[in-house]
Amino acid sequence: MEERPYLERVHVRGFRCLLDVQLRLTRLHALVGPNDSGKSTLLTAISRVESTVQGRLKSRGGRGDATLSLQIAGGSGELGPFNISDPGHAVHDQDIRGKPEIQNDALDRIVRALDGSRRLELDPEHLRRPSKLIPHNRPITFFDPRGTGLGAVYDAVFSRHKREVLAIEDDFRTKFPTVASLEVRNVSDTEKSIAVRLVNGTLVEPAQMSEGMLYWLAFAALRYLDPVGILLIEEPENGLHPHRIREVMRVLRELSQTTQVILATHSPLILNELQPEEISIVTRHPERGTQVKRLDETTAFARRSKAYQNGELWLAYANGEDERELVGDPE
Amino acid sequence: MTVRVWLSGEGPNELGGWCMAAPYTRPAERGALVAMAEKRVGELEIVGATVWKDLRRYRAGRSDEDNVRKLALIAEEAGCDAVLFLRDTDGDDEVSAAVTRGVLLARGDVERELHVVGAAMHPCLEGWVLAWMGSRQTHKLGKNKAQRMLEEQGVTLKNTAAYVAIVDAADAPAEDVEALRRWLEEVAALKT
Repeated sequence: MEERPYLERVHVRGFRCLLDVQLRLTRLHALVGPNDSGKSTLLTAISRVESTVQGRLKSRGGRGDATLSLQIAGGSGELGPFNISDPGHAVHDQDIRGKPEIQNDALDRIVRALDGSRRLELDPEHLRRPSKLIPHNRPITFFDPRGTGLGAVYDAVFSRHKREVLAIEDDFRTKFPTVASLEVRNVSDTEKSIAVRLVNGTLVEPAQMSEGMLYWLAFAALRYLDPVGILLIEEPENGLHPHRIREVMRVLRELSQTTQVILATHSPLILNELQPEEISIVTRHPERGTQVKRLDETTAFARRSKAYQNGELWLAYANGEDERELVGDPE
Repeated sequence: MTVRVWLSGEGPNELGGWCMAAPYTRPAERGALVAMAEKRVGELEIVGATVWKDLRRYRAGRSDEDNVRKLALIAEEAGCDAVLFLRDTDGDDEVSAAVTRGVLLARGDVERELHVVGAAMHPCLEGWVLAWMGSRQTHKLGKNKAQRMLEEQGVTLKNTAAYVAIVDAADAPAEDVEALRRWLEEVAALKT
C-alpha cells in the first residue's frame, strides 16, 4: 500500500478562536481538550485549506484575514499562508503553481496530501435516513458529514466490492451475534436504506437499529469510500461500547496509511489506542485564543507516562478548563 | 520531624476518615493503617489518600502493579516523603506478587526521594488485626476464618474504631506474619 504524503505542520492565524496557533500532526492524530477549546475549529481550518487544492491552490498574505500555513511530511518547507476566511471575505489570490521555489515533486506531494477531505460528525438520525443511490460511475461517499447515505454507501459497496463485503458481514455478525445478515432495502424506486435480519428471521428496519450498530457500520464502510487526503472525525467514540472503540481505532489506523486521519475526541479510551506524539491537548486562553501542546510535551510527561496510559494521564490531570496541570501556567 | 505521607487502602478500615473524597474527608478519624504506622514512626502528616479502587485504569491486567506506580506518582507530585499503602490479597497470591513488583517498579520510577512502603495483607486486614491481638500464623487463614476469629474475640467486623483501638492498645503484633513485620520495619525506617 503506497503511503500518501500528509500534513505535518499547520499554522493558523486569525480564524475564529485560532488567533495564532501551531499544530504538529501525524498520520493518525487526536485533538483532545475542554469543550469550546477550538478542536472543531481546527478541523474546519484544515478542511478549508484543503478546499483550495487541485488547480485552485491559492496563496495570499492580507493582514487581518484568516490564513493557514502548512508543511507536508517529507520536506516541502513551509507553504502559504493560504486564505481560509469564512465565506464572504474578499480574497486576492496568487497561484502557488507560479512560485519558482516550489518544485514539481513537492507540488505533487502537496496535492496528494490535500487531495480532498471528508468530515464526519456521525448522527444516528442521519445514518438511518433512506437515500438516493450512488450512480455506478460516481465515487462512494456519504452525502454529508452526519452520515446521510449509509444505505446508498452499502448498496455501492455491495455491488463494487462483493468479496470485501462478505468480510464486513462476517465481522458484523461476530460483533452483533443476534444478526444473521446485513441488507440494503429499497424504500422507494430511487431510495435505499440499510437494515439487518436477525437469526430468528426478524427484519430490523433502520429506525429500530441501535446507535452503536449504525456507528459501527459507518466506520466499517470507511475503507471502501472514495479515497481522500484527509479524514476529519468529530468524537468517533459516540455511541460505541469501549471494546468497539478499540476496533474503530484499528480501522482508522489502517486507513491512516493512505488517508491522514485527524480526530476531535473526549475519550480516554481513544487516547489509549494512540502514541503520545499522536495526541495534542487543545486549550483556549481568554486573550490568546486556542493553544495546542502535544501530550509528550506536557508537564512531567516522562515521569507521568510511567504510571499512566495516555488516556488515564489526560484524565488524571485534565480539569476541563485550562488543563493547567497538563499544559502548565499561561505564560 | 513529621513524615509527610500519602495513604492508600481498600476503604475506611485502613484509611479512616481519609477514605472520603474532599470536602467530606474527616482527618481526625484514624484508620488501622495510620494506627499501625504511627506505632513505629510517631504522628504522621497525612497529605492525602486514595482508595485503591479509585486509582484510574481502563484496561484489565497488571492493575495492582500499575496502581502502585500511580500511587507513587501521586505522592511524589504532592510533595510527600512517603506513600503508605495496604492491599487485601483475599487469598490471591498473584495480588501479593503484583504489589511486590509494583513497589520495585515505583521505587525505580521516582525522580525525588520518596519511600514506597506497601504490602499485600494475607488474607485481609482482619488477619493483621488478629496478629496485633497476639494471634499467630494468621497469614495462613482464609478470609472467612480470619473474620470469624475476630468476631469470636468480641470484635465487630468492619468497625474501624475497634480495629484502631486494638492496634493502639498493643505493644507489637505477632512476629510471624512476615508481610506485616517487613511493612512495619520499612515504616520505622522513615524516621531516619
